[in-house]
Amino acid sequence: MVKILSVNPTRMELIKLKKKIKLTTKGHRLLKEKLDALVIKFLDLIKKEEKARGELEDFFSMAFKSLIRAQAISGALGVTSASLAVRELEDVEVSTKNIMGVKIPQLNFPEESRNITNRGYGPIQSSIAINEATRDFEKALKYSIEMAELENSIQLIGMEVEKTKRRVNALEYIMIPRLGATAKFIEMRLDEMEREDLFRLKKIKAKISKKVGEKRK
Amino acid sequence: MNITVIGDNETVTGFRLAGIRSAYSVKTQTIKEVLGKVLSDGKTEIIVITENFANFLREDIEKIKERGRPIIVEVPDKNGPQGYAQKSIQEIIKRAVGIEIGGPKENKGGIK
Repeated sequence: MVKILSVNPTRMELIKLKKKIKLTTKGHRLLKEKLDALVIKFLDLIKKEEKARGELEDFFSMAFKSLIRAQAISGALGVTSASLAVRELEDVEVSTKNIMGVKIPQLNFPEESRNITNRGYGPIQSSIAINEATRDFEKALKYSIEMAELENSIQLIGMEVEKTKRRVNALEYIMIPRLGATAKFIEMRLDEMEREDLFRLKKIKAKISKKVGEKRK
Repeated sequence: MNITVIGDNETVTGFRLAGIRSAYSVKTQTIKEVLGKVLSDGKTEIIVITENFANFLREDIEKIKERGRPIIVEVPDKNGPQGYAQKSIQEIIKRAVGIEIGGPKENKGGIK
């Protein structure tokens, strides 16, 4: 049994309710469309993420290999001292993109190819292995930032999907049935009142005609 | 200085080579403190953290991820991918869609 809203069974309330039902149905349809669009985007992102994660993992193990090679050739201390001398990277630009009302981040990595002359450490103290490790980690960083953007988008859109789904379900399974049941209740109550009125009138008519008949006698 | 790296010695050295200044080499005892410091300075937009350390602070990390800012990204360390990052994403997918998509990947192993 669906719960009924507590309203007065009047014609005015019925009209109001019918308007509300129309609005709710429309809202429900819109939300459902939004949910579909979000889920499509979500699945798309998941596919991308899975691929990117695999690439990132492969690349990281390679980057660590070249780092360890550098440490073997130049000594851990040499690599560390080179790493402290490296020129700082420019900040990543963070802008937002709007997808179905969800603001997802867009990270713009300052694309610049560095080489041994502008990385900041001296080419004489460092070795080619350090240079290779640096190149690999620069790329690893780029992968990480792409990953950050993807994962954050998945997180945000996932939460929005959850929220929208809850709303759609609340409308579909609670609000709309409840409003419908209330409207039906009012309609039945009004019909009942009409029948009562009719019956009352008939009763009065019978009484009056009886009286009139008695007077005539 | 809007990217911060938190990880073990090698990871930090590697990212320093790539041009990140705010890189913190941590141990499991100090990770919580360092993360708190990074969060409170307010300048960091992206935190790159190794999977093992992230797993150590799983609850805190998930809370930050839900908030959306700063963006946290988990990367494998020198021991290779552990699958924690993928599990974290898997959890979101399960909550949002209700089903699991893509199984857990096997451990590829790193360099020991």
